Parts: sequence; structure tokens; C-alpha cells
Amino acid sequence: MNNTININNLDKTYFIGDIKIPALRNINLSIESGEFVAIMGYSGSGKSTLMNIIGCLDKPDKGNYLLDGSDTTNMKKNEYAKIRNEKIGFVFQGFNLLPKANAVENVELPLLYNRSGITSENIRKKSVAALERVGLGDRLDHTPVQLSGGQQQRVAIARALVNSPAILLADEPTGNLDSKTTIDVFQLFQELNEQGLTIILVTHERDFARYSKRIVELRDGRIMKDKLVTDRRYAKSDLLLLDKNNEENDL
Amino acid sequence: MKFSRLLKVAFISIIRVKLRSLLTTLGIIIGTASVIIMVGVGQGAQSNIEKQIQSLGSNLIIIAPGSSKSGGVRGGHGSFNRFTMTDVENIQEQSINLGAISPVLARFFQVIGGGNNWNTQVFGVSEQYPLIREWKVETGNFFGEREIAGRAKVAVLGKETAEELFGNSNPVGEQIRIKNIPFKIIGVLEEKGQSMTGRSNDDLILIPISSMLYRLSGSRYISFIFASAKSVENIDQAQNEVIKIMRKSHNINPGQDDDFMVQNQTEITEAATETSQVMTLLLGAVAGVSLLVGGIGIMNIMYVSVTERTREIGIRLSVGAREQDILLQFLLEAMTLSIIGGVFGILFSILTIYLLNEFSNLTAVINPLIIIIAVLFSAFVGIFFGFYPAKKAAELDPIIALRHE
Repeated sequence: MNNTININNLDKTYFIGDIKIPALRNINLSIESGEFVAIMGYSGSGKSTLMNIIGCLDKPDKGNYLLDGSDTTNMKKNEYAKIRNEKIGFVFQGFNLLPKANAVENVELPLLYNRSGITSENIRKKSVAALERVGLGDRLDHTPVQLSGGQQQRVAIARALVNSPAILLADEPTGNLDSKTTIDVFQLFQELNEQGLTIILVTHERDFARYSKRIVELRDGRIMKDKLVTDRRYAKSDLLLLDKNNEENDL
Repeated sequence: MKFSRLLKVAFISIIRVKLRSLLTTLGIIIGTASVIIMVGVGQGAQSNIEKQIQSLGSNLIIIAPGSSKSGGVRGGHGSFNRFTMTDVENIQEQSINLGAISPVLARFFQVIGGGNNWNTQVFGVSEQYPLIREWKVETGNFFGEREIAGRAKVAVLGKETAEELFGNSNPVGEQIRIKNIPFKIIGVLEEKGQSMTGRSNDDLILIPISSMLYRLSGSRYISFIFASAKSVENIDQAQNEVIKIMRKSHNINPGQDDDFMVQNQTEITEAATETSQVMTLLLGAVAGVSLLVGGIGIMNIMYVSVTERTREIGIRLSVGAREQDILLQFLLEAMTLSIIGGVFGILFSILTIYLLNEFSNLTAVINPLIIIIAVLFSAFVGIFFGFYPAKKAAELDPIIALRHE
């Protein structure tokens, strides 16, 4: 079993007062290492719940979930924290950077909570390397307010990557970005995926889902479709096209 | 997270909200400083009182009327004033441990002299009184046995009384009139300053006890008997001796209460020390309350901080912080605030105590024990009041915390 993610017969139910809200019903999902999967669905479809469970922020009620070979079903809170620290990199819609810390301090954060005894020097080295990888090597000491939205999201991606996680979980990562920066971010994702990183993208826009390789569609807590992308978009060519259009408009 | 890294995170968080941190620590600064200053002032007062009592003459014994008891009805102290000159004579004849002895009967009179009048306390005493009190005559002489025996109309004035009546001129040889009876001034006492009770020891007139009894008060009773033990070492023996003589001459059967009280300076010292200790404790307690209020201030600010930084906590949790990491971070923040406050409080109090001693009449002492207690207490305040907000932060659900606006 060399799947990165293995989910079997997973159920999750919420209670609001006495009302039972089944968020996920009988989910079976396997994701292999190196995949680029988009989880799609309207709001209320259960995609956020699924993402929280995959990201070890939440626990399933029934069924089991194996991440990178370890069964997370009966783990304690601290073990969850360890998994989040070592195996998962989060990228959020709202970037979720510490507003008063600069770029490199933000990227360092997961390493500070790492329990492998990494030295402060190595923490700094790794963080700078991660920022260079997302193209922000020259913005190390900029705080979030001094960065554009796209740059902030790159810092968040660098933070997600700094601990070499098994998967990168991106929850509507371009929701707060304009179309040009959106494509920029997807280009970075496609690049990272080509380098072997497993990426799970949660989105409700089919256009963006087409940047991935496989789309899993949720509706009312169930997986409705699970198909490979046939009309895949490539961010690099989209960017070229965009530049060309802009030039024509300028003329 | 490593402790040193947590400490750094806590420091950075404190420095990022400078003004708020300053205002929060201010509560602890004031609290700690007031504890140290108040206790210092209290203990300063205590040592002052002790010094003053020592200066009264440490071998002084005061015999005062006690409570009477007739037919089971007990009066309060002084309810039955029955000292007479006989008591004084008895003690004088029978004691072997007493040096000097003097009856004391004091009355307030409007005194006329030198073209002025002045209301002051007139003491009828024996010639041995200055020996007992260790008072010295500045000009002129004190009266002697001859004047006592002859009920002489002579008076010795306190420095202040002399100035009030005669200004700067030498009053020795002049006359004053007490209750319309002329008295010749034969001496003026040296300046002595305030007594423990706050009354001036310089505003008084001393006259022979016999003159007081037969010419002024018109009664045969005296208020107190002052005596001095021959040495400080046998003051207890002297005291017991006085009790024995008094019981015998008052015909008090074994088992019955004394109808008088004998006090020596150690007892007065103890009583006064106890009083000022209570005062110190009280001052310390009031100051302690302000430290407590400072602690509540920290708790308040930590709560606000946790709410404001809910998203930050969510971020930290999502990148792998454990509950105890968050708990420790916020606890360390609260503790750092209170310890910084404590340290500045100590510096501030040392400065204040120095200024008080230098520029005011108050004496305050710096007590190292109190400083240690204050530091420990401020650290405790940090832990105690920081714990609940920190726990609240640590137990946040990361999903909810991340969505917090």
C-alpha cells in the first residue's frame, strides 16, 4: 500500500442542537503519492469537512483514515499536532499569516514546533530555501502588509512546504486573488507537483479544478464523481495567453 | 516547542503591543512597589517607636491604678484611684531594687506669668523625678527634699512653656501664678522633643508633689508612681518587689486581683511594637490588594489578547503546535509581564524609600525578605491569573480558530 491517503467508509455527522447534519457519508478515497487532486462541490457539500479530516484538524465518526502509512483513527490530540506539523502543509484562502511577523518568521513557524531538535540555524536556512523556492528570496524581511496578495499566498505556500510534508492541502487558495495572480499560484502548484509533491486542492470553481489531474466531486456528503481531468489547463500557457491579450488591449 | 523558543515568542508578543504591555505591567509595578514601600514605612515607624521608648529610660517602672473589685462588680482600669503618699513611702522604705521613686499627679491649669497666660499641664513630683526620666535642668536648679517638706511654692518650667510665657528672656527668678497662687521659677528644663503619645515633653511645669496636693488639687490621691530600677538587668525583680509591697500595703489576699498595674518599658515597648506590627501588616495587606488588582488587570488583558489572537492560535495549531505549547506561550506571556512589573516595582520602591528617607520625616526601611516575597507573589500572580486565559487559548478548536475574523 503506497498510497499517501487511504480513506475507508468514512462518516462524519455534526449536531446543531438536536438536529443531525450528516456532513460526510461513506467516503472511500485513495490518493497516491504525486497526485494533484481537486475536491469540488458547492458549499454544504462536505468538502471543507473532508479537508479538515484529511488535514487532521478534525476526526471522523466512523471508518478509518490512513495518512502516509499511519492510521490516524485512534490518535490523541498531540499525535494529531505532530502529523499536522510533519506531514501536512496548509494553504488557506485568507493566507493566515501572522500579521506582525515578517516573511521568514512566518515560514519558520512549523519548524519552531517541530520536535526533532532542529537547530535555530537550520530553521533559518530551511525557511530561506522555501521562500526562494516560491520566488520570494528577496522579500525575507517583509511583513504581510508590505506584500501583495499573491506574494502573501506564496509565503503561505513556502510555510506549507518548509517541513517537506507528504501532502499540500490548499483550501480555496486563490479565492482572495485577482485572475493573473490566481494563475501565478496555479503555475507554482503545477511546478511543485511536477517535482513530486502531492497536492489536494479544495475549490468550487471548475475552471480552477482543471489545473489539477483528477477531480473528486462531492454532493450532500457523498462522492458523486471521481474522474481524471481530460481537458487540463496549464498555467504556463494561460499566462502567455494573458500577456498577449494584454498587449493587444494596450495597442 | 523548546522552552527558550517559547520564551522568545512570548517576549516578541509582549513587545509587539508596547503600550498595552506597559499599562498592564503598571498594575503590577504599583502593586509590588506599594507592598514594599508600605511595609518599609511600617517597619521604619516600628524602629522609630522602639528608639523613642529606649530614650525614655529603659529601667523605668510605672505603677498605675488598676481596676477595683467590690462585691463582684469589676470597674475598668483606673476606676478606683487610691494611690496616696503612703504608697510611695511604703515602696521607698521597703524596696531594695529601686533607685529613685516619685509620685506623679498632673492637672491642667491656666498659668499666668510674664504678662501672658498659657494652659498647660502641671506635674506634682518628687525631687527624684528628673533622675527617673533622665531629664536635665538647663538653667537654674531643681527643687529638693527641703522644698517638698516645706510645700514650697517653686516651679521648674519646660522649655516650651518658658518660651510661651516669657519669650526669650530668662524666667528664672520670675513669678508665675497657678490657680492664683504665686510660684517662683527656680529652673528651666532642657529641650526634650515629643513624647510617644505626641504630646510635647517640653510644655509642662514641675512643682513639688506636696505643693500640688495641698495647694492645688486639694485631694490626697496621686495618679501614678514612677520609679527606676537600679539596673536594667534586675528590672523584673524590681517589678515583682513593687507588686509584693503594693499587695501587702493594700491588704490584697492571695488569689485576689491586683488593684494596680505595674508596667516597665519592655512591656510598653512590646505593646507599641505589637501595635506598629499590626499597622505594618495592615499597610501590607492594603498594598497586597492593589497587587491583586494588578493581577486581575493581567488576566483581563490576557483574555482580550486571547480573543484578539484567536486566528494566530488557529494558525499555530494548524502548523503543529500542541495544546501545551499554546498554554505555555500564553502563561509565559502573563508571567513575563508580571515579573517585569515586579522588577520595576522593586526598583521604583527602592528609589521611593531612598527619597522618603532623604527628603521627608518618614523613615522607611528596605526589607530584603519583603522584596523576595513581592517577587514570588508577582510571579504567582502571573501564573494564577494567566492560567485561565491560557487554558482557554489552548483548548480552542483549530477549525473555528482559523475561521475567526
